[in-house]
Amino acid sequence: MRDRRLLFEFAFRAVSNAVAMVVVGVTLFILGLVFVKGIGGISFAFLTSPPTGTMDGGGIGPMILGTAWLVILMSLMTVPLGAIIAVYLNEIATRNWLYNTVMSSVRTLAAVPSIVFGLFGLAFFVTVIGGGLDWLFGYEERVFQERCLLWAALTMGTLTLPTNVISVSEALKLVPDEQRHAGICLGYTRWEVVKWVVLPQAVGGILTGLVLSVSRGAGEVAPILFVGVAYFLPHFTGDVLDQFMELGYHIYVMATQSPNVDETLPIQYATTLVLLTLTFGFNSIGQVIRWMHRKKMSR
Amino acid sequence: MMIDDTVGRPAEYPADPEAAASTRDQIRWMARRRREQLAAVTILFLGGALAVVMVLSIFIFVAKESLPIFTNVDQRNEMSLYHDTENEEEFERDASIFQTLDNLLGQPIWQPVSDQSTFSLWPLMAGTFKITIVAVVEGTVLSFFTAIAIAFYLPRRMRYAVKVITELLAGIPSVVLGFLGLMFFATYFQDLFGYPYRLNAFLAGTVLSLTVIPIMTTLFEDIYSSYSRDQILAAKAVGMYDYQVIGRVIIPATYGKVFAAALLGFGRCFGETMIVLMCSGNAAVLDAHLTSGARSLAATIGAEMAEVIIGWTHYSVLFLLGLLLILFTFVINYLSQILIRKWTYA
Repeated sequence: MRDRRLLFEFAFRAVSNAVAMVVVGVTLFILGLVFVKGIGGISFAFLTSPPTGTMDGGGIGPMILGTAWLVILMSLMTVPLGAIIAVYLNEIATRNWLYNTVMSSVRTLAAVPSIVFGLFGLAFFVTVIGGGLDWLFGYEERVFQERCLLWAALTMGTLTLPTNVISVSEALKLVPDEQRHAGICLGYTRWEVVKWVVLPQAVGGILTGLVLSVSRGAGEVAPILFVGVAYFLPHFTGDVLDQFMELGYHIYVMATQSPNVDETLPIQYATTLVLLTLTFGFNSIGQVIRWMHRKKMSR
Repeated sequence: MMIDDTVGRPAEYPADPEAAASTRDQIRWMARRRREQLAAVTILFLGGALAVVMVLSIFIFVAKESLPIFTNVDQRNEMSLYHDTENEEEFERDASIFQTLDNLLGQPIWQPVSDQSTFSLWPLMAGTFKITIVAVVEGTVLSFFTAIAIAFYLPRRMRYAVKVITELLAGIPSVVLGFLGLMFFATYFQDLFGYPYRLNAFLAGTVLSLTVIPIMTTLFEDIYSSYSRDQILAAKAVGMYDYQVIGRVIIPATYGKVFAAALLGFGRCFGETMIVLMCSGNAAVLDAHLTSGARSLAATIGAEMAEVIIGWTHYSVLFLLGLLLILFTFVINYLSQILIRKWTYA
């Protein structure tokens, strides 16, 4: 009887540890695989030159620029808005039905599948806002009502909004209530407490949100599949009303739609390595900032 | 912690207003502060309201674009399965909503681009379900054991490393996982399991499970680590082994939370696009075999939306798929909230 229990215990321990090791192994294997297969294709020329017409040569310059522009425009929208919503939820709102509604909206936004944001971008930003702007300025041909970088960035901004709200909220919760009370006792208004006491200490949270949403935005492809990303557009114009090429979408296109998939495999792995480095680097930076901020606040 | 209150303080705010200013200046100053407070709170409130508006408008605009297949008579005619494309001119019939429903729910064929387009939802739902089930089952099992290992069994030094590395998995974009699934794992899986199709629901589900493992492991690990130390010690004191503590004390008490976590993982999985698009083979077939190709709702939108003409039937149907995804999300979120609330004790 006792032996059987010991056997079970041993088996359960072995299985658990083995599964944990498998998960760790798969993670490290994936990272290693992309690194080993991709590092050979990376060169300065590859990172800066445009792709060739048949997608079997050239570099990924325009995709990097496109991704960078997308992420910058996205951050301009999502970071301030995320901070505003987080401050409203944590500092201003009383805990009533309104608070619950806003809170569950943010949660829902975080749970909606990313492809749905693409549909929203097409139906709202392109058709309604873009169409509205065209009508407003009286353009005969379509200027704003096109799939373009601007609407893609706004779509991505909507997608990454919850990331920002949650990061800033976490940072705001780390500020002790005593400091808010002290501020109010000194005659600060609610807003002055936020401006001079709370926000300066939550900068780390805002930075974390920025970096994490950049990481997410650079890696997501689904929401921009049909809101502005281009199959082939070798020269990035920098115009927000143009279509653009993007790293993740380029990987997808090369892996599924290019005429000679096997020959371009090295380029695909190299592109994947660049994308992974980008998202991964930003993600790690975000985690480090969050960790440093927590450590600083708990001192 | 010291607060540096000179940072960001504008010059027109005197450090000591009574000493610095006349009464009139003071009144002006107070009014200015009140205005600022009002403006700030208004802006913050509007920001909060915008979040609500966004969620509502996502729902409303996706629904609005999908409505024409029910309300617009031309689209209904096109949806009608008795649509005679040979005699387009003679075709003057007002198809009803039932014809649209017949197309969507009737014979299980998804064939959007043909003479007689059929948009059956069944193969897509079945495909979504197959892939998601594989992903959730694999994800739950792997995360469950990983979390147990982190919370109970691994040496202390390794726990932190395993946790961090598992969370690294969350930083890998889904398109990268999809790419590796398509280019690397597909071939090896086929050699290993010997199934007929290289890309299938099982492969897509397996790759997809990698995206939920970090989330679920964190959730499970939180659940187990935050479980009452005293009860674990009490169980051990009566002579239970670790596996018995886990199986007879912790799992029965945290059953609901674990289920809610699995449900959240489910919610993450069924809307995932890129992995499914690249690994599932995208065959809209209606069968119960995990090793046949599958096509999910999200992947269908992703694959076909770029080619449709805005405002046509196919476009509206794809928005209907999006609406279904949103509704599923709402239901699953709501259910998991209820579960968490209902089973939160200990």
